[in-house]
Amino acid sequence: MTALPATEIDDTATTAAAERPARRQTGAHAVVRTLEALGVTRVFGYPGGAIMPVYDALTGSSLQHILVRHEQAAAFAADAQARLTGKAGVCLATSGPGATNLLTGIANAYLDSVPMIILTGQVPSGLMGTDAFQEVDVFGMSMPVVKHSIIIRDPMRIPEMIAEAFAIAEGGRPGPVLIDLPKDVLQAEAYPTLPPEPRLEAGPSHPSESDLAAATALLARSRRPVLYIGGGVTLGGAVDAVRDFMTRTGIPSVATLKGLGCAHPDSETYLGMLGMHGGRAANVAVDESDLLICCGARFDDRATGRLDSFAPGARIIHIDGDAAEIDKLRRAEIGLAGDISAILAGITNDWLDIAEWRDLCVERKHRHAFRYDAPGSGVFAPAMLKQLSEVAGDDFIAACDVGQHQMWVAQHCRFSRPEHHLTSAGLGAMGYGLPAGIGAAMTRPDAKVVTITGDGSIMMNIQELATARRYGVPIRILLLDNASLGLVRQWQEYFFDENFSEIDLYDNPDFAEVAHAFGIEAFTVHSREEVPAAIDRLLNARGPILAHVLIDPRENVWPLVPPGASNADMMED
Amino acid sequence: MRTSLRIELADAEGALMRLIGLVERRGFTIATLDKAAASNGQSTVTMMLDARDAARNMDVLARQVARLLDVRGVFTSDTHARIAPEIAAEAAAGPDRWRQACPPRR
Ligand SMILES: Cc1ncc(C[n+]2csc(CCOP(=O)(O)OP(=O)(O)O)c2C)c(N)n1
Ligand SMILES: [Mg+2]
Repeated sequence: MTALPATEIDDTATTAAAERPARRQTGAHAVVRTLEALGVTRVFGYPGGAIMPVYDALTGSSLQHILVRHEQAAAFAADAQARLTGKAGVCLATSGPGATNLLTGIANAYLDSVPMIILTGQVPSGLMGTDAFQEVDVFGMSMPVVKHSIIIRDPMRIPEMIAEAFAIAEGGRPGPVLIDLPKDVLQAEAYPTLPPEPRLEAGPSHPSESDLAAATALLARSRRPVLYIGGGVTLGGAVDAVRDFMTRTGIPSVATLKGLGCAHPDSETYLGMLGMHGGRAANVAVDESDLLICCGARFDDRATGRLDSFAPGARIIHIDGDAAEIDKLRRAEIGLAGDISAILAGITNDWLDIAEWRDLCVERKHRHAFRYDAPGSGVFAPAMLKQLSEVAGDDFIAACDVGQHQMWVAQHCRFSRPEHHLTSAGLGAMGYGLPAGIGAAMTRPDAKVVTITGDGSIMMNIQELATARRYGVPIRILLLDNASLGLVRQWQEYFFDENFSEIDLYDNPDFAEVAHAFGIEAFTVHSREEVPAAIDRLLNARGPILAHVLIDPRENVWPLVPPGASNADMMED
Repeated sequence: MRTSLRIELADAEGALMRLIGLVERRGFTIATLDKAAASNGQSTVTMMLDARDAARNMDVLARQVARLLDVRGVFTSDTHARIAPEIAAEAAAGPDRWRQACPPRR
């Protein structure tokens, strides 16, 4: 390990600081200097007792610290930044309540395979295990939802262990890595050093020629193939490869929630999202297919519906960057773990004869296209969302919350890239939208970042309006207010005999007034004729802005596959 | 069905807890557990496992275990289960009864 040059290690970044006596270098300085050396420029966090040494060391650092108003938001904002850049987002909190507040955000990153570094303060080593003030075993609590975690016990190993944590978070199938930092380690004397080159995980393996030949043979025999695209395509950097494969083969494709944006949005053979709120053309194509080429998807129950009747007549070629996904839920005739781009490029289609099938799928796609001519003069959310994404164009980035509005975004918005659709897919965590939008807008201030949220979800992290205001974040917030927990209400309507239990949010605050109180520009949209002007105002705003849009509480998401049913049995309006 | 798994585990803080937690969470009960003392920074853990239901697949579990950063090698004694293509090549490398279920990470 190389010692950093003296100018980098002492705390003399400002003239005022230069006049102060040089400060003792501690483990906390090593943490900060290591993050800087690794190229981190921004961390999201919230201070408190055990992490205070790190906050002390932040003074004079080149790191931009974003003070959120709840630790969960720090994790969600870091998550969004990571999804957009592919580099680990960093969040920071104190021990005990700070650490437990992060857990939802960690789980979110884990279930969506997002690279993230979580730094938590911990009580001093000698007090660990004694139920000390603000002691919780976050190392143990987070174990099921991290890719890896460490407790740093030796201050001299801080650079090396943090560098390795980044390599783990970003390598292979990405995920969150938690670093627990006992306070005594942060306060101990330490000499910041440059982190060594971390040992890298083995790169993705390449499939054998015989496996590729077997896949090619299976494809040649197929008359009704479907490409089933998931989030693993983005993780594996294989978006272009998937688009090439689609063009080269003409195989109809469907996408999961996390796979949206992988296919080119204007591709004729792309049939849309499958699953519980998938379109008819997509679900029927999968149901009738004789070969499902699963690419970076994991047979999640929201996508498959009843598993034993999912693609009942199909053989499976399962391509994934993560070998542990193959055969997990559906046995694959051919499992190809490794570099998705190389695998797709290795599957030839010289004998493919699927013109009739392709035409049928495309014809169905047009026949069952969504309709936007809803009666009445109220705002029809699907139409507004479609229009919003089209006006915003290729720079549209949506940070969604969870509920009906999230599903409408998935169904009706146009995404030029998969990273532009930020959604809590695996965890389905209400509260994601606003902090994720903040993280995204700070990362891509040039883009049209819109948080699309509901009247239920926004209340889970509404305090982050203060963060948006403080940093002048160029975020647009589209709040679709149906005065209810709409998605739950829809399920109660159809699957619980219309017994509407605890979903009525009739007494919501006036959200435009709430935004005003935070110092944020806001306006309310009551009717359809106001929509075009509202979209213009939102997209042309420079700072944070909120559009409070009143929609019909009875509006539902269609189609809908009832829980436990087969995707072929979808309900429609 | 009862199957055995042998894991070479780095001698790292939390490694055993992480391993046991994963096995239980992924739908297996641990019937027996044996861990030798660590030498050269790693130790061998041998477990007899029962699947909680018929849908649980030992090969998938082996690959999930192999994803853990502290795991250096995974071996299974079950010769009946199908081997995923990418690990089939490794199968021959296992000593006697044990076949290596997954190549080492690094
Ligand atoms: C943290 C959390 N709690 C509960 C839920 C269950 N849930 C899913 S959607 C939903 C309603 C969301 O309401 P709102 O944000 O207003 O969206 P809408 O469905 O009305 O568009 C609830 C309660 C969840 N997904 N996340
Ligand atoms: Mg609502």
